[in-house]
Amino acid sequence: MPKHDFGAFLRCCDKEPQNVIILRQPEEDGRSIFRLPTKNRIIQFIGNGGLEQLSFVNTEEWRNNFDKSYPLYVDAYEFRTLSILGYIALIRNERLGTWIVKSFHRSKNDPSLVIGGLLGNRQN
Amino acid sequence: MSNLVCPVCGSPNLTQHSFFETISESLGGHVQLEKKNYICAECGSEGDLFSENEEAAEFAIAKLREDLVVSILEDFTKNNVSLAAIERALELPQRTLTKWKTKSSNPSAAGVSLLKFLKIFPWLLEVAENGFEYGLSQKLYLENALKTFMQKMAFEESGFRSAGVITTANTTVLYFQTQKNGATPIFADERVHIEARGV
Repeated sequence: MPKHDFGAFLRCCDKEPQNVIILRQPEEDGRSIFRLPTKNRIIQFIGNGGLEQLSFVNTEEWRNNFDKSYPLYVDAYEFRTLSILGYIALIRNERLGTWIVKSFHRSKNDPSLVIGGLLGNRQN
Repeated sequence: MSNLVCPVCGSPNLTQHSFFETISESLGGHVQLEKKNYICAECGSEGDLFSENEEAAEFAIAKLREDLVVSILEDFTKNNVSLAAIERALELPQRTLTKWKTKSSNPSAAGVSLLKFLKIFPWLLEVAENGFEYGLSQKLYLENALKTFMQKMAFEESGFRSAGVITTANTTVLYFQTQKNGATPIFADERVHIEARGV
C-alpha cells in the first residue's frame, strides 16, 4: 500500500505547484527522456493526468532522511505515456507541506530498454 | 540564504553554487545557461530547490525556438518553396509565416511542432495540398519511404546484408543486391526489383 495519497499529489501539481519539488536528476531526466524541458512543465504534465496506467510499485523508508524521529517514505509507481513505461518516486513531507519528486525516468521494465540492451544501444 | 530551508528535509544547511547547463532544441541549436543549484548537507538533496531557474530556462528555450523557426522557413525559401504556398496548403492565414520569420509574432508550440514535421518530412506539404486525402497520403508516404530507403541503404559497404526480409503483420518485402556492369547506378529507383507479397 502506498504511504501517501497520490490523488493529493496530483491536486498539488495542479493547484499548488510551488509545493512540488523536482530534484536535479529527475529534472534532467524529465528533459532528456520525456521532453519536458523545465520543472514547471514536468509538474504541469503530471497535474494534467500525464501519468497514465499508474501502477504502484513499492514503499520504502527514505534512507537519506537525517531526522530519524520523523521518518519520510518514498512511494514508487510505474506509469505509461505513449511508448514509454516510466517510473516516478515521491516523498511527502507533511511538516513542510511539500511533495518531492525523487525519481522520474524510464522504468527498468520498459521494453525499449530491454530491446536496446539486446541491440547494444545506449538508452536513457 | 539564512531564511532558506531544504524543502525536502527541513534542514537549514544548504549550500548554493552555480553551474552551466546546455539547453538544446531538437533540430535547432543549443545555448549555455547559468543555473543556481542547492545541495542540502543533511539529506543530500540537490537541485533548483526554489525554482529560481525557471524563467531563464523558459526564455532560453523560447529564443532557441524562435531561431529554429526562422531557420526552417529560410530553408524552404532557399529551396524555392514560398511561404505563401505553404500557408495556402496548410490553410494558415496569409502572412502568418512571414510574421514568424521576421519575429513580429511568435508561433505557438503547436506551430513549432508543425514546422519541425515539415522540416523532417517536406512531402507532408503535398499531403496537405491534396486535402489530406487518405489514399493519396499513403501513396506519398510510401513513395518517399522507398526513395529514402534507396538513397540511404549502404549497399556498397562491407558487411551490408546482400539479401534480407522486412516484414510487417500483413506484408513481406524481400530485397537483394545484384551486380551489374556499367556506370549506371545499380539501385536507381526503376531498376530495383522488390518483391512484396502478402503473408
